[in-house]
Amino acid sequence: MATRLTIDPITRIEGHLRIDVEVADGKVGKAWSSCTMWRGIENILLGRDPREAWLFTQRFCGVCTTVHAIASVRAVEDALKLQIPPNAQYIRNLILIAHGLHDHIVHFYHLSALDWVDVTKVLDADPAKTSALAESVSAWTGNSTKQLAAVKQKLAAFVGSGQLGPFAHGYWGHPAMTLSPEVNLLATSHYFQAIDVQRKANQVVGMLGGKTPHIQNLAVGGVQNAINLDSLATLNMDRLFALKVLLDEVVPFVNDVYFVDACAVAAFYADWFGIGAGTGNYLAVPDLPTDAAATQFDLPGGTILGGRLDAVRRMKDWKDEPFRRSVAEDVSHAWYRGGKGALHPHQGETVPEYTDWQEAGKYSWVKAPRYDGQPMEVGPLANVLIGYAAGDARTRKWTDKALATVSSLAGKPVTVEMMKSTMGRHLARAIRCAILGELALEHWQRLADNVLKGDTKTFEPPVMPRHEVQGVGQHEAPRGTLSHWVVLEGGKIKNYQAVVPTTWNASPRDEKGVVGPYEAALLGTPVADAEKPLEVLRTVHSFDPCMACACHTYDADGREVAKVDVL
Amino acid sequence: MRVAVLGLGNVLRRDDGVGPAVVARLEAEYDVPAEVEVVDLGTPGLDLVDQLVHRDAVVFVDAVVHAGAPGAVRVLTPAALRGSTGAVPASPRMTSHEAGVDDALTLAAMDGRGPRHVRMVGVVAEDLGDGPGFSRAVEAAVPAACDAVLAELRALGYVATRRAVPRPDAAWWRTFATEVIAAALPA
Repeated sequence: MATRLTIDPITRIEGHLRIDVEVADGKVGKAWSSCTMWRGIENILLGRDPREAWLFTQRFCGVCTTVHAIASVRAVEDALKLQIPPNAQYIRNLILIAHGLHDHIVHFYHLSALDWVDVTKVLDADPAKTSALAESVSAWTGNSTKQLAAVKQKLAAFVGSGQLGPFAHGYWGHPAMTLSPEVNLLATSHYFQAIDVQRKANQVVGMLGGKTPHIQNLAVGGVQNAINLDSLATLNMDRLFALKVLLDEVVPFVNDVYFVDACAVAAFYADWFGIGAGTGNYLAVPDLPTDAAATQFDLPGGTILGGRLDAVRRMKDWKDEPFRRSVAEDVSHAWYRGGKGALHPHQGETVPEYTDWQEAGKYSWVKAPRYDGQPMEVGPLANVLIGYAAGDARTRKWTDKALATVSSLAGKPVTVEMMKSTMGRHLARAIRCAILGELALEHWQRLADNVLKGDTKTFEPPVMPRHEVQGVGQHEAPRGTLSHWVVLEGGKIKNYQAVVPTTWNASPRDEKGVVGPYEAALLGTPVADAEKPLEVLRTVHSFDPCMACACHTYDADGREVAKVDVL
Repeated sequence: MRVAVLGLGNVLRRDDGVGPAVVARLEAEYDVPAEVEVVDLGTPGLDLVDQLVHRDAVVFVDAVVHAGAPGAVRVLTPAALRGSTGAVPASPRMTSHEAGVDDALTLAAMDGRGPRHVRMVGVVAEDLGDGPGFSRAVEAAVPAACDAVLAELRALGYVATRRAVPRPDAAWWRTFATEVIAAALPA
């Protein structure tokens, strides 16, 4: 007997996602990923000035506003063949790194930890035992018995007041929650500390970007930050060191807390390295250019097909022709007018055609992006696997360290191949965050060195041609490959399509009936209790879904979280 | 600054943009005391926590789904916002944001910080479709929402003064700069 489960909405993500699964013999046999509201944002841009498109695109979303601003200016600069000054490159990179640090910390602690950590068990924990455990694995100074006892007391007060806030909707007491009270206390303590640390990372974005969310410092052609070492009102050494002070507080937290916690959760739930594999196809674009012409990158890009790490194809830079040629979006199962086959984004259309949720027909507002006809998983796991397979030294160093730590804590070997899984995605996100922490300080140094050399240029004015030009802006965002595709004519936007990370991952089936990455990853996921489908949430959350830009969202009234039908 | 007026909402979702629009109008037409920061936060999600921890008093401006005719201005207390967002099932007083005001206030409180005084000036929304621009009812409600914010500031002891000459409109999403595009093209 099969059971049909509908989870709508999936909580602790941004926006609305509906997942339908068919469970037979305690495992998911079929899955459908559906985004329940449509996105028409691109249509707003038609006819507008491409130099201001980034102001609009960053309002796609409230969480990763920065990434859409960056992808947009890069798209227009690509169309204009405009090279930006080195300072602009480094300032943008620092913003992207700080945003990534903030985003990964928030995802692990505030959006997904509660799938693994049972906060109600914290009340049974012994703070002294917890502190001893923490001291044995981490150099972090925030794990004292007194601090942990205070966290336990604070949580007890919140539980006592009946105001659980963000903790109100966990599957507490679920049999799949297996951490000891002490590990639960440690993780919960770090949940609170992470609120403070993620803010410091975000302050870096705000100081360079003018404000956050919705940075104000970009321009097609560079950035608007004035640099003058003799002025109090501009970016000067004083400001630069203020940024460094913040980064020097964030990076140790990433290395000694987040990275360690992710390894510990991975080790205690090592079974989850065998669940949630997905499509086996991975895509990442290169990012963090180290020169003005963007010929060298600190984050490697490429593709892996069929899980073959030995056959990785490296993308050298943003000029990579296969990437520019191979992306197309299929709407066979999405609520858009189709009939023309999968369309390249430069020819892309966004014309709504709503049917209803139809199992064999159209069932999502997310289009199905394909790379050379293949569904691709994007995100930190893709970054790490591609970097590892391509022999990137930084990726190797942190991945080997993580796998050694997990293997030692779990008492059994955990390999890079096993990372193609639900737990692998969490571990990869922590690895990527550690890499970003290292790069934060390096790119800060690049900017400081360049400014001290006397270079203060931050902007190269764009020249708009009358004839039609096309471009693509690429960015490896916290959730994965983001590309904005733009067609300009007469100084105006003629077409604009954003192919966002969650569109890749939450993709519905395509013309050939091939499932998308969420759908593929859910196959075989065990479900112990259909009324409380925690395991399904674990796999979906491991991708860090953010539906707000994958499709646009608004819904007024509450709905059922999980509906169960016995077929 | 310890006191803030925080405009929330997506300016590309019609009436949802009323928070930023009220902020833009306040910035253009009033001089507020130096202790008060007036900010368009757009759609901050959980980043809202960062904007709360160092404040003593906050007046939010946002579109709300609430009993009352479109364009009605409602001043809500934190108790009225409790459970309004992020909660499933959601309360009928849900604002139009997913990671919500209530979650952010709770997280700030868990951090041992956050404003002691909170008010929400809510404008009942009608049209939440795509694009900039408001329904007629909400467009007409912008001055009343501004007045409600100014009244809340006065109650806190901060008096804004109306400028003789307004500053330029800060609401970039309302403009469609055809002349600017033409000026950028080669002759």
